Amino acid sequence: MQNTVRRASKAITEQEARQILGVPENAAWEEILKKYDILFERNAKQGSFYLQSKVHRAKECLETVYQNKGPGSASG
Amino acid sequence: MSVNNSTRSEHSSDMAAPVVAGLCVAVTALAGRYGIQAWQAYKARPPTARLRRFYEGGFQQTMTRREAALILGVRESTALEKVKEAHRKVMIANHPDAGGSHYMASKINEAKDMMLRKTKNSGSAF
Repeated sequence: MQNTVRRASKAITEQEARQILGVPENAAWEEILKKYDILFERNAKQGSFYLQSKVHRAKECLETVYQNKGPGSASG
Repeated sequence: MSVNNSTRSEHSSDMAAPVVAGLCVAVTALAGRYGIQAWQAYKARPPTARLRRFYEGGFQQTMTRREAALILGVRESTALEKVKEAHRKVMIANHPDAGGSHYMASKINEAKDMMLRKTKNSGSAF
């Protein structure tokens, strides 16, 4: 079940995810979603698919973090 | 009481063919109409998500030329001018002043530098 290390890039870290979306440590989930929406849309229209992927992975990573953090926030 | 079926069946076989033909035409027409409606609905629906899978993970620890090309959305062999154009376009989408992140902007600039560095090959400083 372990995926072999075929991909060149390591798994995204929470720190890098925050850097990609440009959100601080204590950012609220709504703020993260807002930044994600902006960056994702912009890159979809005018950026590269690669960058769009990074934005998506960043949000994915933080989603997990925030789900574990707040029991009342996201459903999980 | 045996009923003489032969006459009846002759009658019905005379009438069956056009009935069957009519049914076939009706079915084909309905199928065609349904098909056209389905096709139009399919064309009119909003664009769905990309069929491509997103790239995994974050950025590479050390940028490679391959990653630089991916960031800018160009090929490794793309001409200088196109690389600069692509850089502009991607930077506009991710400009820090317009809601982008500094991290992404720095990656984009790094990508441009890498692509231009290798392409120049002249060894002269800018």
